[in-house]
Amino acid sequence: MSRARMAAWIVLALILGPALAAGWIAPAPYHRQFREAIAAPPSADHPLGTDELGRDRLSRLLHATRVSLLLAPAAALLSTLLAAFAGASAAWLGRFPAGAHQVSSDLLLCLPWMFLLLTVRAALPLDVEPLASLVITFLLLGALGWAGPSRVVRAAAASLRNSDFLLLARAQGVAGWRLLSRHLMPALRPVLAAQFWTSIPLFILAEANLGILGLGVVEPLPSWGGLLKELENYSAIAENPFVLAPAALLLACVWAMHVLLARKERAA
Amino acid sequence: MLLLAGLLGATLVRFAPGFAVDERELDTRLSEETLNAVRAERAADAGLLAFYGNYLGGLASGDLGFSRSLNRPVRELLGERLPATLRLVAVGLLLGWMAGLGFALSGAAFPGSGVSAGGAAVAGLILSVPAALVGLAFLHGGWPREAAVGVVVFPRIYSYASRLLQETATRPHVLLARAKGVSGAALLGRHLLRPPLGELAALGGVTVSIAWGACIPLEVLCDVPGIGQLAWNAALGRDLPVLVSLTLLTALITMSANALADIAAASLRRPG
Repeated sequence: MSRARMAAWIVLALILGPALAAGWIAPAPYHRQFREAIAAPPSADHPLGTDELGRDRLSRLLHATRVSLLLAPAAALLSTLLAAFAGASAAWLGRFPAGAHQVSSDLLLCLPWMFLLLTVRAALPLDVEPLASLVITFLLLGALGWAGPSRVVRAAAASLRNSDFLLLARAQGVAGWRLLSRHLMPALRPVLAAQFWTSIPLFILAEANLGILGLGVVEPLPSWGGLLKELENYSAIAENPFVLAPAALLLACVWAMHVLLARKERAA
Repeated sequence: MLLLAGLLGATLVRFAPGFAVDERELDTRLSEETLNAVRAERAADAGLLAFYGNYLGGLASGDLGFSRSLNRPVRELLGERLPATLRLVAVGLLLGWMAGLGFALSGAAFPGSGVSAGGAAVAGLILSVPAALVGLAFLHGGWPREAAVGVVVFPRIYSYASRLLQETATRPHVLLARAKGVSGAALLGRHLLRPPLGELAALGGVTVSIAWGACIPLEVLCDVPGIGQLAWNAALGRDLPVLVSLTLLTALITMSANALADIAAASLRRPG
């Protein structure tokens, strides 16, 4: 294993471990306000200080990391499932699904991802409960992110059309959904896995973009994007450099993922 | 595809929560007659297909509709804001391409000099930063906004160009040229850059799309009065005519850029 990959694994473990244990190790609940310590500098009680509402920054960072790092894989799973369904149907179920797939994926791909993501999210309800905003963000990323991967899945599925194991299955009378789910999908697993893993860093960045613009997960539930919104206030950075901690974690995490996924990204 | 993209934009806003609500209805100073006129105006857009049919009819005669949130013709708004975005995208792309291709060429021409490793590290780092965060850094740093677009597209250009050029650098004709003592500009222009020109041209279309998409967060955060900021306000204000026009414009620009890039790539790949 190269030194860069080893470093990437260590970085991911250092970020993921505390995030998953946030419920136990966070010094305070993420929404608790310490009214006697508004925008306080780092101290023994609050190692990263508190925000303008008096909430402990370390606790919010741990919970935000957990939210962002669970949201992105969940959205990646949804988009991969949609891509698998759309791509395999287009390759195997005749002209109509193929035509529908071509048009719908062309439509989504002719608009820049960021344009689509931000305008669609801005048009959806904004004044919602934190949990609802989490679900909306997850569904949005999953529902808009399938088009590119589905093209790859379609090409891979089409290339398997005349493979021996599928010809044998068809000769034995297996057809339709059963052929897709029992025979084709297992053969597509490496392609789907590559699409899933490469989508995760993209969705982490997408959530951060949404959050910075105030369209991500709603307060008081923290996410990396939501915490990064604080960076709009330059004086907050000057007063407490730990405001930059979410940006540093995000950068380290996505960098580590790119290092680990370099080969998969090239394959995808 | 262009018409479908417009319909997608119209559908999105028509079914967005709050579309049927007009802030003017809450204004107690308005008379009942004015309120009725406002409701009638809103009702005219209620049917999605009727709206889109009317919109396309108007489009044929150069009428892009009227923005309710900004109270101005959409054509005027686009004419006013398009230059700022085009400038942002054009200068940003120029900077991004110069930096990306420059690093990639240097890396391929001088293997083992550390340029490749440095370029890859910088590209990897920038790829890990959301475009909105790049915008904030440029806002606080007081740096030119165009350079922010360049930073966003740089890693894509560098990574692709670097891979292509490094592959070219190991081809027999390049090795032979090196063995014959060809170096510097002649090696770069004649032997390294020429074979992958087609692929690089194809990348041009993709980078236009990336730069155009990055304009929304950059213009919103850096307060640039361009198309990205307009799209943002239109989506938040459920301004149907503006958003449909912007969706059409965006699709037109990205599709044209890709088509031109494909034509350029095909002609560059043609031997002789």
